[in-house]
Amino acid sequence: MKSRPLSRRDMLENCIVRGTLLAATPMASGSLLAFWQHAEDNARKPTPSEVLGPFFKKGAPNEKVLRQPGDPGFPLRVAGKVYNTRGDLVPGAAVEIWQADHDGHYDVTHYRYRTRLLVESSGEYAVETVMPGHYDDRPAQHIHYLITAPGHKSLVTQVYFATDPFFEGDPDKNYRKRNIVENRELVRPVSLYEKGTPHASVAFDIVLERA
Amino acid sequence: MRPLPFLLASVCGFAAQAAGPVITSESDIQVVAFSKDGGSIVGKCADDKLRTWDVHSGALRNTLALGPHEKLAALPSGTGRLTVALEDGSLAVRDLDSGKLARSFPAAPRASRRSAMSSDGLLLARGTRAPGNSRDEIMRLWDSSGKERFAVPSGIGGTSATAISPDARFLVAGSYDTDLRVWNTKNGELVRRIDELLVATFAMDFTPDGKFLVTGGVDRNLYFWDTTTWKLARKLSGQPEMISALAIAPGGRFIATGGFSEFAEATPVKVLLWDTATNAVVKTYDAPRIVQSLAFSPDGRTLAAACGKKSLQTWAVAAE
Repeated sequence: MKSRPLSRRDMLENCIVRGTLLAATPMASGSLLAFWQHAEDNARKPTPSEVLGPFFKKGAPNEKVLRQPGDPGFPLRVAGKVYNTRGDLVPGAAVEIWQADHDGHYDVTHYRYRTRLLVESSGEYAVETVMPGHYDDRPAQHIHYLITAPGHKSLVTQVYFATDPFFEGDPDKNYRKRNIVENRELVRPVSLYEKGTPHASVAFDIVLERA
Repeated sequence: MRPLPFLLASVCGFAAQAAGPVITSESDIQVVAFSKDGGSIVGKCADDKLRTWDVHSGALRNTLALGPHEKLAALPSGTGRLTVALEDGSLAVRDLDSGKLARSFPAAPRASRRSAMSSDGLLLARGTRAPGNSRDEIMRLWDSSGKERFAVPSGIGGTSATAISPDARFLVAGSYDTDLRVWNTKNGELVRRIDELLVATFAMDFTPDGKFLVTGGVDRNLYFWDTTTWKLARKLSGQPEMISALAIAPGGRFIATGGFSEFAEATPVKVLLWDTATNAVVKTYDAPRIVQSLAFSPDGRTLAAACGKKSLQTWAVAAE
C-alpha cells in the first residue's frame, strides 16, 4: 500500500503523542501546534535559481534609479521583498541586479543598468529601470539577480516578463521555448499603467534558503 | 626554399601575413586544433563530427562521427587526443587518429563539459554544480587512476575557463563571478584567489615555460599573471571586443586573441596577433563572427580560428 508522505505537522503531532517534544519544552501542546501551524503558513518555497550569465560585473553602485532622464525604453519598476524559507524578512541582504538596455545591450564598460542594493529593515527593494531589450543570443527579456545575505545561501536567478512577445501570449505553454527559461514561476505578470507617463510594474519577491 | 611567411618574418622581425589554406565544411566549425604532426587541421563541427583537413591544400582527409551520446569536452591542439563526455557524465580521452580509448575519468554529479587536462594527460579537472538550488561551483580533480583527488569551492555561477600548468603543479579556474582561483594540484590547497578582475574571464592558457598564466575576457584586456607570485605582471590592451579565445604559439613569443562583440555573436570581430617581446599587436585579422576557438600549428606557422561558420579562418604567420 502506498503511504502518504508525512507533513511536518503530522510529524509534530506524532512527536507530541510520543511525548518527545513535550518533555523538552514548557509550551502546552496547543500552543506548540499553533506555533508550528503559524510557521507552516509562513513557510516559503525558495526562489528557483537560473544561470548567472557571462556579464556580471563586480562593484556596481547602490542605485535605486537606473533609468536616466531621456533614456529610451519603456519605464519599468521592479519591486519586492526578500524573505527566507521560514517567511522571515531578510534585512541586510545585498541584491545585485543587472540587465541589458532597451536595445538588448549590456554595458560592460561602465555600470549602466547595474546596481547593488542593500535591503533595509523593511526587507523591501525596488528599482526604477526600463524594460530590457531582446538580443539574438538569448531572446527572452530578462533581468539578472545575485542575492547574498549573512546566514543564507546565495541565490542566482532571473526575472522574465509575461508580456514578452517571446512567450507568444502564453507563458504556460511557451516558457520552455529554446530552453531559455527554466522555471515558469520566474515569468512574472506585468502591470501596465497608462495614466501620466506610461510605465510597467513587476512584483518579484525573493526567497532565500538558510545556510 | 623556406616558405614566404618565414622569410618575411626573418626580414621584419615579426609575424607576417600570407593566405592560409581555404578550408570549408558541410557543417559549422566550432572548435579547431592541429594534429600532433601539424600536417592536419581538425575541426569539431555542429553536426557532432570531427573533420580533418590537409593543412597545405585544405582537402578533407577524414570524417569521424562522435558517438550518439558523446559530446566533445576538449580538443587540445597538437596533442593528438580529444576528450568526450559520455551520456553517464564520464569522460573518455581518445586518440585522435585511431579513435581508441586512451583513458577514462568517472562521472561527476552535475558536471559541466568544460574541463582541463594536464599536458601529460594524467590529471583532469572539471567544474561541477553544487547540489540543490545552488549555483555554487565545485572544482574536482581526478588523477590517472580515475580517483578524485579533491573537490573545492570554486565560486558562484559556473566555470568560465580553466587550465592546468605545464608542470601540472597548478590548476586555475575562472568563475562567472569574475574571480580566478589557483589551487595546488597535489592537495587542493587554494594558492591564490585573484579577485581584482571586475568581469569574467573567457579564455586562459599557460605560456609553454609555465612562467605566466595568460587570461582574457569581458574587459578586452590580456593579462599576464606571474606564476611564482600570482600577481599581475603585465596587462595589454588592444582587442576591440571582449576576448573569447586565445592561443599561445609553441615558442611562447606570439599570442593570438579572438573577439566576441558584446552586441551579438554574429557581429564581425578581429583576431589579433601579439608579440610578447614588444607587447605590440603585429597583425590584425578579420573574423566573421565570435571567435570560438584558436589554435597554432606545432611549428607556429599557421593560425586557425573557428567562428561557427562553414569555413575555417586560417592565416600563415611567422615561425619564431
